[in-house]
Amino acid sequence: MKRTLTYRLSIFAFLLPALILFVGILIAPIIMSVYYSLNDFKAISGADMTFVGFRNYVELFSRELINESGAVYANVNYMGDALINSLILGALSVFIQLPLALLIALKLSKGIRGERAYLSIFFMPVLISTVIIGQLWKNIYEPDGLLNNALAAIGVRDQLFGWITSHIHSTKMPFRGGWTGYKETALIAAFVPILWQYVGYHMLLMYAGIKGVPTDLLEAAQLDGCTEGQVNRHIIIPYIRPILRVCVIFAVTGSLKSFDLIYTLMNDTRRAELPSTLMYKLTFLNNRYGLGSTIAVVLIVLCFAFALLISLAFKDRGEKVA
Amino acid sequence: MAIITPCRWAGWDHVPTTYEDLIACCDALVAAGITPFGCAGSETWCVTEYLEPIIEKTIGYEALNAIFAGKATWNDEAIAGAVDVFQEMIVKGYFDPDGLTLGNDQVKANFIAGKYAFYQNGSWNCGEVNDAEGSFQVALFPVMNAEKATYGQVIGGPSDSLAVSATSKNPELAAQAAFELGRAICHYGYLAGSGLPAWTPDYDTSDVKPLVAAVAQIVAESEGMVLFGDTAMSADPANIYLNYVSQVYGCEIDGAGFVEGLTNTLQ
Amino acid sequence: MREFKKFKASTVLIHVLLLVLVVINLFPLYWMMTFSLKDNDEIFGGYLKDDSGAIIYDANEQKIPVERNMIGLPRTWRWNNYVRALNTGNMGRYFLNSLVVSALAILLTLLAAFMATYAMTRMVWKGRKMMNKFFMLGLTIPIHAALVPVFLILSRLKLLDTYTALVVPYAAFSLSMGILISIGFMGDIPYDLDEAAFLDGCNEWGTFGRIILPLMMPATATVGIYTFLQCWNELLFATIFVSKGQYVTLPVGVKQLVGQHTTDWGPVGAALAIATIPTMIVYVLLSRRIQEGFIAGAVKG
Repeated sequence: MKRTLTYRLSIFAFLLPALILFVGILIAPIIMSVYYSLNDFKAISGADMTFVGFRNYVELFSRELINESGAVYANVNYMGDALINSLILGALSVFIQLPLALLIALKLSKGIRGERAYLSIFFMPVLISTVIIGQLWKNIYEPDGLLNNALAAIGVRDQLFGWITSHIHSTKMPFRGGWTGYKETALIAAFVPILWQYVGYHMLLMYAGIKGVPTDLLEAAQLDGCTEGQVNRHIIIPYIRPILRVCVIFAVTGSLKSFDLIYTLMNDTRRAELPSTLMYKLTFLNNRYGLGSTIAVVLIVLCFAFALLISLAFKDRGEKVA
Repeated sequence: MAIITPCRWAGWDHVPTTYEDLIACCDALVAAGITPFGCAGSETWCVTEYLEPIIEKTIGYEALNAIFAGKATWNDEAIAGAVDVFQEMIVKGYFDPDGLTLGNDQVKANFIAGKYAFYQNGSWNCGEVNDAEGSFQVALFPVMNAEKATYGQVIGGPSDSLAVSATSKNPELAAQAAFELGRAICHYGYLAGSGLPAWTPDYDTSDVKPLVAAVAQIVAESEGMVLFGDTAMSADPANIYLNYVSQVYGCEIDGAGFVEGLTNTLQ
Repeated sequence: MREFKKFKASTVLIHVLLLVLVVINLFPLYWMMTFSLKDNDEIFGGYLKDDSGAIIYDANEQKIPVERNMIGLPRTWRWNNYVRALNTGNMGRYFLNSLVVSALAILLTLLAAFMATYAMTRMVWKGRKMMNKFFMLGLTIPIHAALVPVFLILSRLKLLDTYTALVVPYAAFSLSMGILISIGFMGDIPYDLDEAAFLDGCNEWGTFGRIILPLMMPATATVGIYTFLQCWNELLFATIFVSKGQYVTLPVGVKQLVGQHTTDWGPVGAALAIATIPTMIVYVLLSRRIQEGFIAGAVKG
């Protein structure tokens, strides 16, 4: 029965909706993006599509360009800074956000009063729309906003501003509390809410993993006289390696994709650019669809590469890379 | 396109009409601890509301129009000079140092509350300024180079338009409808104070706020108009232009850098 | 031996730290609620006005200055903001649109995911493991990759500013996770049931419809909730694919309230509150399921 034609057709029929969606929205666009990235066009209809080969890629990765008359000029569409920014975000996610999440997960899983409540509350920011969070932090970062008022209340405001002013090289304007307006401070300012929002997400994953550690292992360790710290280090953490791997992948690829918060936080993302905001600008403000697709392709390749690299890094003793 | 201001500060009871007077007035304001200009640095179009009049009053409206239309080059010393003057104003404290992060709503609220002396922005703001006491005035930016520009040259013009597709079934009829629609928008917009009449109003305009009427007067008597740069140019050059304006406001490049960058990138 | 509770200093300390984190986490909600009940003058500082925006004069015909009040409780609770957000702000319309888009996307995801999972787990054919891996690729593909091409396709098909423009992409992007979750749940259904059904004369469609689907109820909830959360707050595609007309969804609508040149912030806050409340309600009622959904996805991946 299993080999009949109708059976085979059934298999195909069952797979069809998923395949249509998947190929249509995910696979085909990737191929199209690659194609578009090799062209340049400004009209939606593609009427003015001109093949330019890898010129878009060169343009994105060049700090300076040379125009037809041979003059060298700064490239306003340079993507290097944006990429570095997102990699910094990725690093911060992995080395600050994840350890924090792990700490909280470890503490919560040990059986604390109100465990479920804490869990729910810490997960909540993941569900709140980024528009709200962006709005809130916008108000916090204003010159007359919460942060500066808090600093003034403690009395460190002016010294801090003076110190920052002396370290600002990109502009002649003194720093007076406009955290999102200066290249040096805008990036960190934007990262704080981004990192904050998803701690709960990683924490939840780790918590679930920790809860899955077999209790006999834990009991045996306790009988052996291990301290809590040793139990964490030698039993729990190794056991949840697969989850940690997932978290790291999410953290890094999430940083490469991050868009919502920065877009809401800053009107002009020029001073803290991320690949996604640059792509948005180039595609929908400058109408350079070819260039926008180029960024998309770069992002895909990077996400894939990092997922692979991280899986390899976590692989050990014959574990298969999923 | 015009400066609105609650005046009578630091000894000035009228908006300066010459450039030297403007500088003197601003200096006096700064000395008295008042920020002269309200400008939302985080929204680059607000910066162009200051930069473009300065450039226009330096090189004249025809030259600026030609540049925006792509027919003339940015590579002009006069423009570099104008940009430098603008930056000097920033450094001298004529602009709110917090401006880099302020949004337009906040700047407007600050201005209405009396924090800034001048607010140069779109004429629709006249509709929001609740000027029961008559303490606000409308004025133009003074001339900086009398050889090239005159006082009555303004920045502005139609920035939204209704278009009829050539392939529509009844293009003539549709165009007529669009025209009447435009006329109605101008009519009611003017009465509400959020726009200006594109035609001579042939209806009762006695209810119109004095500020709005003053702006309409200015426009009617204007000696030349330049459409906003980011509206006149097409998407890509417009955004590159805005990028450079933003750099100028942040004092990251000077006049020469601005001119050179725009020349090389756009032409 | 008698046990007694020890008040360890470290436990107290941990609770204190956790409470600090709780405050930090709940602050945005508190702030949003107070924000939604103020008006521009209270937020930025200005003059006292009534609900229609006209200035209120006191006994001496003077304007009453209002001090800036960023984070405190509102002095006058302007519920009017909610009325305005719903009426002129069109929040009701946007809410409906988000609801419709989410519901349709959930249905589509469920359909595609369940059918594909059935084919891959309960039907036997070469290459089904490969197909699974293929679908799992979707988890690493960034959503931006599809942005320009899908935009161009939708634009040429004249499908921009419709429900389809969002429902189809949302379903596609929730598909991989949906399949992942479904595989976990479907694997728990005993295969004997399949055989029994076959012996009774059902073909694969019958087995699917009569045996598997009813038993997939828990999975429906999990996949549904996961997809819902993907759709409700989604900003990027929603902004670009549906930016005008009557199909705008909540996040875009709220962002649009922040006008190009002027903004009335009180109603914006009210709009944000309206946008968030359903998510909060769903979460409070179904937090366990939601958490399971996220866990299932990542753990089994």
